[in-house]
Amino acid sequence: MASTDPIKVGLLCSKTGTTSLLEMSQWRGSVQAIEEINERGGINGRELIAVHYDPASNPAAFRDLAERLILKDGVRVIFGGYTSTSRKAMLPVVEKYNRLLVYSQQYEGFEYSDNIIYSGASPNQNGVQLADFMTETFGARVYMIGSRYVYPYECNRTMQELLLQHPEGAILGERYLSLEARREQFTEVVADMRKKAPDWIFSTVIGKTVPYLYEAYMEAGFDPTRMPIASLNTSETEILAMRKGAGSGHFTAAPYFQSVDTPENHAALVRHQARFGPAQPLDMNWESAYYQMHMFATAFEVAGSDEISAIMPQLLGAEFAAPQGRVRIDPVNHHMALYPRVGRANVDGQFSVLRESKFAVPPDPYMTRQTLGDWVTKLSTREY
Amino acid sequence: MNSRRDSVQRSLTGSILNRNLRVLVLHPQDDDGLTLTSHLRRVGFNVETRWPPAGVLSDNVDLVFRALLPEERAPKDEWLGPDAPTLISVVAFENPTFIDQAIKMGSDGIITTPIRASGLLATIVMALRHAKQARQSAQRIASLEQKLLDNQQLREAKAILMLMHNFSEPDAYEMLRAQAMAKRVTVDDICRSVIQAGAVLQLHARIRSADSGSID
Repeated sequence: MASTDPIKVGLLCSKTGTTSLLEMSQWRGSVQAIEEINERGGINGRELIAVHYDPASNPAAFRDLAERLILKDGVRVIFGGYTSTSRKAMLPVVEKYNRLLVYSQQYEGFEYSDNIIYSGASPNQNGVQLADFMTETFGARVYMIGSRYVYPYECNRTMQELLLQHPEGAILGERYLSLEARREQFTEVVADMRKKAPDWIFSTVIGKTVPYLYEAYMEAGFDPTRMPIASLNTSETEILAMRKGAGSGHFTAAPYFQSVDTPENHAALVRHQARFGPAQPLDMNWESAYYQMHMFATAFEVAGSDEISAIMPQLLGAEFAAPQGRVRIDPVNHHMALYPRVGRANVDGQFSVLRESKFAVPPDPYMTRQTLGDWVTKLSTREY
Repeated sequence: MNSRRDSVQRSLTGSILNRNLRVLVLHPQDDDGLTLTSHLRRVGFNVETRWPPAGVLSDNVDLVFRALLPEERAPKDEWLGPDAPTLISVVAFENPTFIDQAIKMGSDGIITTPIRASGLLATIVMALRHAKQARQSAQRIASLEQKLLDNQQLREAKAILMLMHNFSEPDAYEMLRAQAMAKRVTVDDICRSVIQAGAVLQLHARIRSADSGSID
């Protein structure tokens, strides 16, 4: 292959289906990074281009399209996947052909593959901080509502273990609705919340049904200053999809919000608004896809190839000045050191950051070193 | 050559494999289901497959593979229970949620998808062996518990006879044994009758206190 040939990477971001809203955020993050890389002259003078397919939020399509990217398009690195189910569908494919998958979504942890970089938050980088903040502020009697698949189950189990370390900790309800659930089903769950009267609601509702929960809550006339919803995934993008004001006053823990105050974030926001319009918000999905593409390009420049054996050593341990702060790929577990933050949504659909780590918190995807309010969390929130 | 073979202990794994195992695979017919069934057949087991897992099992199944789907929260198959065959759960996510679920179902082993041929045989052998040991241990504990109970009754019955008739302990035992022989029942049955009679005659309290050493 000539040294001027373009470099192709695969993008699997759904344009349709239950999680398309968030996967299009990932797509914008990847595309913005690719355009920035090409504007500064590409990778070692070679243009970076993306082969994008739409898996329509369907795990089987993720698997088939990953195989197609590898076999038909000759792609060596694939970026994509929102649900754990879609990641799991691609895992055997990239392992079989020994290719690299960059999964940029926060997820429930408990996985490792030689062929995957997990660049979103691990549960110790959002769940622990959320539990800490919410129990301190509102209490530890919690109602759990989630989508019916592996991420919410495991995420709730982790949250439950953290809450039950608290003397008053209690799970007052645990409900799961389909990713395709109807709006009325949330009205029914919200009625149950009124009966149980928890201190707060932990939502692992995913994708297009997220607005249904917040809107049902608003219709019920609940007060977010007394019984708020807290989540690890409700971002600016979901809030934009809600009726105005429905997200306001609720909490999310994530390493990134559009409101993060760093020079890198301000610069990226300006370019994003120029490219995708001022109404289009940034979110955690955009950010992780964005920095991950840049980190790939930097690693490729050094390795001279995206053959996994050549590029992986360059990725492991790599650092990057991301919009959220300086992030690092952990060379042992392939997850990332990130900056946990807790934000409260305001009326404009943006988050006011209430707490943030001063230092990057190393990933602990198997949650073997976590207790509520332990020194890891304390250290990460010091000076706030 | 024969002498060498005799001196070698029989392989535990070999003896498990030689039993012509009947394996039931409760797994969707996807890539993992096919990898699993074709490897089990390759090894030489009798393999049956079924999905969905509803229904009862035929009597002679030795080993069941059961897929735990992420959408299923707490599977409760009809055939699960203390007398169920050895069970290996197949999970898609190797996290505490699914591992706990497999444990709650009574699994003797867990394998994770994507299924690979390598590692399967070792898991099967260990699961069968542990399940067999657990069953044998449970039976042994049950019989020891029964023995303990019988012993206790024998002691009580002897004490009643010793008190009533001023027998020595060997004489009391001899009387119980002779009664059992004559009535063609077990010594334990006679003991139970003596204890019942003792209760009617309200000898119990006195024996208990004598037994524990406090004399009134």
